[in-house]
Amino acid sequence: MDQHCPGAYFDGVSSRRRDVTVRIDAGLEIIDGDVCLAEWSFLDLRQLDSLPDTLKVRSVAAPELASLTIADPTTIEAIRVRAARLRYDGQEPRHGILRIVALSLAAAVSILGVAFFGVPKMARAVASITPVWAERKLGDAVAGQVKVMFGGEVCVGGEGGAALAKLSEKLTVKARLPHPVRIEVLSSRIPNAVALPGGRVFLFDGLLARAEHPDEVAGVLGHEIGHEANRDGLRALIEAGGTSFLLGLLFGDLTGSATLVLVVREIISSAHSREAEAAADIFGRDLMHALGRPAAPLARVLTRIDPSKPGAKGSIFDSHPLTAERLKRLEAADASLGRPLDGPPLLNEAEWAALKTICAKK
Amino acid sequence: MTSESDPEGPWGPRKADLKPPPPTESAPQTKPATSADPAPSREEVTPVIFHGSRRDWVGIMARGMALYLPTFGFYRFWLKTEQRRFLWRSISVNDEALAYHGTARELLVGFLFAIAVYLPISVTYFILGLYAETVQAFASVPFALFTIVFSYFAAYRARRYRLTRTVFRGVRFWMDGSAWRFAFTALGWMVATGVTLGIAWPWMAAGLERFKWRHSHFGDLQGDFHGTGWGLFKALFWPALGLVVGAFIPIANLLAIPIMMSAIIAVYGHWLIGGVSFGPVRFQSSIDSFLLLGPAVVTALAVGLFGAVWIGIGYVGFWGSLLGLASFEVPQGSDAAVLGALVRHAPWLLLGFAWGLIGLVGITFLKSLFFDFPRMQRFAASTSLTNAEALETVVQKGHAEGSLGEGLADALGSDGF
Repeated sequence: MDQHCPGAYFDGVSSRRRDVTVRIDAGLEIIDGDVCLAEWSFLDLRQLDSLPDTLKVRSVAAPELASLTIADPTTIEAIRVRAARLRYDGQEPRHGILRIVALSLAAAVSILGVAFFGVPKMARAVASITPVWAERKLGDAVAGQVKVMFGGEVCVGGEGGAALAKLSEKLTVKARLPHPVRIEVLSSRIPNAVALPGGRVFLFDGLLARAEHPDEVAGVLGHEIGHEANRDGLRALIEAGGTSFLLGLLFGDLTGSATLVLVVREIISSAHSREAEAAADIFGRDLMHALGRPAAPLARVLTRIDPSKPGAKGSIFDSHPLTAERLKRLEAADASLGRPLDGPPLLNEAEWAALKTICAKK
Repeated sequence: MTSESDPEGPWGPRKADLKPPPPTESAPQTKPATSADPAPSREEVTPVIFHGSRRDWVGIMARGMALYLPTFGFYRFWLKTEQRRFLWRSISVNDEALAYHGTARELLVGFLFAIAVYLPISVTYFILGLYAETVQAFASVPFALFTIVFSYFAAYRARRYRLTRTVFRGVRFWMDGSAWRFAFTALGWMVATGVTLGIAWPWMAAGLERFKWRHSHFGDLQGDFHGTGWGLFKALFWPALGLVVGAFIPIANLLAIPIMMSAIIAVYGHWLIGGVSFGPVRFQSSIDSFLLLGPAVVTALAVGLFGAVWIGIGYVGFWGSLLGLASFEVPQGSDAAVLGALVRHAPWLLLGFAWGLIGLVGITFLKSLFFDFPRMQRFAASTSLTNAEALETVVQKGHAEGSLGEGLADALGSDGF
């Protein structure tokens, strides 16, 4: 059989179109006048994108961009029959879609798994080898931001400062941390306390105002010292960076997908944060017990600050365990200790009054 | 330009069997010539023809959106490649279509390499930022400039990748020039734009386009860009003013914003396309401000309707389930307990996420159908070339560029189409 038809040929070197004759023989012969420009083997042919109702092919053995376009339907059909590997270069084969889905699923599961299980372990490892001086630098950096965000300055009232120093001393000596802890009161009205990386603890004046007993403040500080002992601030920071990065690999640039990533990240980090809080509670509890004082006042001051209704349930977005549950657990721990918690008061009446007014304007 | 493109062409009759097929019903026969578009003196004008069918485009987008969820977004590399192949092959000049030679695998590999490159850089950047914070609170903010510079670097490299995967008449487009120089030029312009409260933006656009097109080549033809900052400023003035004013009118802004945005996109497209040249080949554009008015209104209505239904169902379903989800008992302690709880509530979680994604995917799909497609079609069909015969004697010169830039752009979220 001998088929001829016209075609348009580009040699891949210049943009000149040659009107050629195409002959189908053992291969595809491209003939210009009397000269055979090329003969392409059918198995080497690959399809290229072209205008509707035309077939454009290249040969893997020819210069990369050389191509031949044919419009004659009979010849196109004849080539299709013979060229077994005629498909667009980058095109996935039919079962390819399934493979993409399966591999993506595997990748996503692996990414989420690493984000959930791997990153916390990695963060713990990195935190434990981070030198204390570096962590302290970091804490100083965050401290600057905390002051700006919560709007407050460090209070250094004379007698109040002395009371705070005494309380800090008692707590930190018993805590026996490898690095020093620095506790300061910030004049913010928000009832809260934070433990920054590098041993810096900020107690907000707002919490001090709501506290009714030195043990309550000591309980809060014990809890924060627990965070310092576990280096939770640094860990949380490394974790946040790690999970953001990993989850950012998913979804890419679909409009608004950042929100979804944020929600997933919130859930993961809240889960780990609840664990860290529970661990800090245990540390604080043991610290208070070592000083011969009860641990439950911590939860009592929290209940006063956030009186949640009885029977409230936790949510996966919560960063802390439920206050009611913490209270129950700490009271049970105090009761089951088996020895009376009647150690010497941490502060006397005068010291306590001074501490309460540490931020008062003179 | 004329509406009846002469199939014979001024470059000699084509072989009968190579004639382009009659334009499909969806391809507009370009716009009727207007008096505002005077024919250049005695120069032959070659129209750009758009062959793409809406059905093919819908198929690509539907498959892309359907696979977006089950692949957690990884299908984006394939979708992007399919979209580009469609657009490139749909555009022809003188019976020869553009061809896109890139593959999804290249994009995926580029993305993986980009992660390998970007991770250490971003960690260093993070540490340096922290260090600055120890000196002064929020002192790390200037480090954000680094991200901007890096984004422009990535965008330039990504464009180079796309351009070198573009082949016309068997000859490759290519690009030279330093991506870093481009990035720092862009940074300089951004500072100028910031200082002038945005007034300098058109000049920034002109400066950057000049940089890009002068470093673009088709074989041995060098590109150039003739649009000016002042020209863009004048063109954008009324639509931009309309946008600012329209945005403040309650209710009416729901339509005013898309309409004005469409005018901005149109005049910008006119300025951009009409400013390009390769050697003696000049591009012309007959896009006017109202070219995309219809698609913008239709898209706004479609997205609005879809959004109302989505929120309506979601309000009852999604938020209901989210509340249920948010209030389940939280186990304390081990990873396993928390994970167990997550697994038990997985149906609700998945439903919530799926509904969220359906919303995003739906809006993306509607926009691609009612706005992106007409835009491609009308922009291409409004374009014509003068001295197009120069395209027929071009000699191959460039070579293919790696896909790292695209990967970086993807990782940075600064990628264009």
